[in-house]
Amino acid sequence: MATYVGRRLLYSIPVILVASILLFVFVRETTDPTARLRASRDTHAVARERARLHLDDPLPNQYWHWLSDFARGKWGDSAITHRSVASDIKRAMRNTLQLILWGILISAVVAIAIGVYSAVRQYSALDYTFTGLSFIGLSMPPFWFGIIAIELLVYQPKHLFNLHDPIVYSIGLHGAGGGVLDYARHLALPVATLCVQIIASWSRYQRASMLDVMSADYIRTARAKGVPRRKVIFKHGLRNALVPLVTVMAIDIGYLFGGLIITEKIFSIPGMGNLFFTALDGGDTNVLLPWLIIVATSIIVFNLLADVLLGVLDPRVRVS
Amino acid sequence: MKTGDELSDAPREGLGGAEPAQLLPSPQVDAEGELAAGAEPVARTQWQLFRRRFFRHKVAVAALILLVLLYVCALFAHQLAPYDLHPKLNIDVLSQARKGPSAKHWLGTDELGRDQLTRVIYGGRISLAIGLTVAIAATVIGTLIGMIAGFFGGWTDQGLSRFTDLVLVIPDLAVLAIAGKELGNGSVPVIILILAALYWTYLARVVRGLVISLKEKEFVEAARASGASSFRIIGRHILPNCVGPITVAATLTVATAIITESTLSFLGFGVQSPTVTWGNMLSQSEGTVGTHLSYLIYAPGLAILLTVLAVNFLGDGLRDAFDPQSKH
Amino acid sequence: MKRRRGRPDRSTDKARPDTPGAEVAAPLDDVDPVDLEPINPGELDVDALGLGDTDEPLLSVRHLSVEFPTDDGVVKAVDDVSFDVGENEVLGVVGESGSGKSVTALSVLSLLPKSARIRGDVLFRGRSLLGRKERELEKLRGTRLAMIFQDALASLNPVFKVGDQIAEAITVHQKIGSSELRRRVVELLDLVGIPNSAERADQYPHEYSGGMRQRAMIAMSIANEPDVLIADEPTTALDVTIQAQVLDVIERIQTRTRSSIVLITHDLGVVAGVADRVMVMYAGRQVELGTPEQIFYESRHPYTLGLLASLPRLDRPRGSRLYRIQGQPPSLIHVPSGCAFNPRCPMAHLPEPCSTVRPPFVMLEDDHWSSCHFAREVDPTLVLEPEPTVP
Repeated sequence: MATYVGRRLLYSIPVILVASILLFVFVRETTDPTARLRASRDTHAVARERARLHLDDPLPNQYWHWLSDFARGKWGDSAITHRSVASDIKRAMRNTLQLILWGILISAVVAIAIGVYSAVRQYSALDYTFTGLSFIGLSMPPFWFGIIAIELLVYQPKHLFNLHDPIVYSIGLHGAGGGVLDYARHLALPVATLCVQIIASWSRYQRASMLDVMSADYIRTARAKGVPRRKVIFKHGLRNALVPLVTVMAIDIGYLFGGLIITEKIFSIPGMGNLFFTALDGGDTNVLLPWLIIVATSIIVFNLLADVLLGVLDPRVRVS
Repeated sequence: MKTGDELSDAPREGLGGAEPAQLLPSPQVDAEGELAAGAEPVARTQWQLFRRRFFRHKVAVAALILLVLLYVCALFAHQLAPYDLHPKLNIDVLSQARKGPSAKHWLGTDELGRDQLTRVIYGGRISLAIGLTVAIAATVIGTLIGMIAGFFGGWTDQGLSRFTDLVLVIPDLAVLAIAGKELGNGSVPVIILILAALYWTYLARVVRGLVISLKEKEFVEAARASGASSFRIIGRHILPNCVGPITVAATLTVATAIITESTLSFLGFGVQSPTVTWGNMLSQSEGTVGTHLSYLIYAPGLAILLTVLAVNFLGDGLRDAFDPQSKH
Repeated sequence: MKRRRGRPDRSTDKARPDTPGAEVAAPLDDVDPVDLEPINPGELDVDALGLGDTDEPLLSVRHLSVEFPTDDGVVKAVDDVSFDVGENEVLGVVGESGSGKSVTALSVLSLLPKSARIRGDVLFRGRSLLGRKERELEKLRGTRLAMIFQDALASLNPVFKVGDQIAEAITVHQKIGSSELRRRVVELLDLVGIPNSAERADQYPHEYSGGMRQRAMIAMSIANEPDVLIADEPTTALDVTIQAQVLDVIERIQTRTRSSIVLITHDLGVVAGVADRVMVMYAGRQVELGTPEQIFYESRHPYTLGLLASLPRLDRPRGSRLYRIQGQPPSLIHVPSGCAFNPRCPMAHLPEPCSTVRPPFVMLEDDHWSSCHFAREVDPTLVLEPEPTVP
């Protein structure tokens, strides 16, 4: 098991490095790091910035300087907030993590429950309903769901009941000190927006995996032993069906760190997605590159985690 | 043995004998040798089976009809749209501004008095075109790379697979947004190109896996033993057996491309006004949420939802028709 | 039909001369007769389940028919099959794949998929099992009726240790302390001849060899000393030498636990040495039923004769060709009218009555049953020629 994890870990390092090269070249070629300074017509500042980033060197040198700075934690300052990029990303990450945590927790519970039910009661009315809903969930543009949710759950009830405050808020995470209820009222809509697609996709996956497992020979063996149905489903069935789902979950979570641009923008949550949006919109290129690297790294890390979890959950993978 | 004969014989295993075999040992398995003769009738049966399975999937058939209608609408937008897309903003038009749905304007009008229905019909043009072209481009790239990696194996496969891994690690929406803003500046071809450059990986993986498993099949080994060239083996034996999964994967890519394009345009990094797309229509009407103009947010989103839903159901029906054993 | 262990006569393995050129397995004398621990009859509680004496046969299948609706039509997997299994009896069920053997076995334990349409009845000690509540069946499964499956790798849960899977077979039916449970599991593994049983109990199925997995399956199925043990092709997936060992284990278990056994196989040879009675199935129907002597020496059905003639035999001249039954087994969706075997039968009187009237399954003499219109005229020499002569 240790060698298995070790090998995967070693394999991830070159992937991160090559990805960083690609992203570096991409960002340098598409954006101008001095665009904002140029607008201020401060030629000294532009020259200083060009020197700091070694922009007059060939690209490989630029990368090398950037990498050594990046490794030593010198990520530069944001042109918009004038704070260090590292602290901005750290603050944004904390907010995004809350979204991700609640999102995946709720999604996992709901998706597994739906998946198991749909597989065990295949072709039942409720199975068809869940299938239809998951297709709608997968086909729904997340930003539209967010807008509609705000319209229908925030404004319409407010008008309808003449409320001073809406039941749930359309602006997230501003409820510091407001207690659990306030926290929930702020997070409800963004988490719901985030969950729709995830639940749709995970429940489909869980259903397929559970169907596959429930038709396996060892399920028949368990029944032939006289194991009660409930235990056949949850001990023998679910335990096996979770193996592929858990790896998919891990991989999907990795993508969430940079994948919440829409949700965070619509609900004005100062997380990673919003940080990226304001940086790109405002030409704050110092933020873009570290942001991309951090997000790519979390994708790789969660891919690695998926491999490790597969090894933990499936004894057949452990030995090979 | 003539290798061409086995070609049509091979996928029959997956299609013809499938259903009874799930339940009990199928007698057809014992009959393998006798049924293999005659390529032509088997091939026809396969196509008939495919058609029969597809047309039984009622939702997929409905989805196909809807998609055909949507594409017809897009093609003939000029003839079908009740009003001009870019009307001269004179007093007649402006006096119609901010009107909710009515008999005159089925979906209402926006702040400038432009007819929503007209804009939704025209907006479909870009979204549908982008979905289709991205899917075609991504399918060609992905199939090529997956085919080469799977067929030649060894270092070629190592190199291409690692490259695929690398593309998968890139945060796609962010990179697309940067490229859309800095390179494309709203130009449709550039957006198509970047989308295709990121979305071929799924197809490459599917095709690579298929080719590797097909390579081990007896009919490919027989062809190789009889001296067929790699080119011929790929063209005559492997590619035809990949058609089903490739079609399904390509269909799903259409859905992804449409959603991503609308997302980019919504963020303001995709197709720019005055070109109308469903995404940038929503971007413009986001501010109407909570006002009496909020009827503007429904139609474009619903159009996206219906299109993508139809594409996904079509993909589902195709998958069932190509491979009835798969439970997704 | 594949043969791995041709055994057309009743001679036991060890008595068989090791003739060169014979298409038989490795000499079975060399096989270590499995490190079977001597059985201590006091260890397992035979009477704990209260075997009551009744006049009813232990297991009785009455006019069982099983159909599966599919896209291409209705598959008639089992068609009007009836048989009894007595106390301490070994019934061999023989047929090609698709002849309905496994489906019959699964319907005894009510383990068929929900789509199955079942008619007829299955009686255990005179009580009907079909249509019973799942909860009642769960109590019977594993205790009274147990099953060994063909593919042990697929039939063992990959994520649980073998020992835990055997332990579960015990704990679902009785409360038992953990140390006692552990002792029983190791004992069961010993019983089926798994070396280092204590260590092996903590391994996963993929760490076992094919033969060992099948033994673990057997250990699991006998954990509660079932009254009826159904073995569905228990040796098919195994090497020839391992097959012999596994069969030995089943035989010893049988003498030890006094279970009745339904041994399903496509191999007449497997059945010959073990079974008290043999049932031959074809296209979901039973075609012949009798003692091994009746089946092997006085067969009253052309299909059985064809099967026998297609076995390699040592008492035939070398170089003589094997018999081959003409044609292909029928599709179970379009079973030929009349006798299902008629298109392939060398004796068929066409069209009347063979392709029009379904022959009844009737008793000819002392419990020797056959479903052939011309059962009394079946002449073994007619079809035993290397090349069939069609009358």
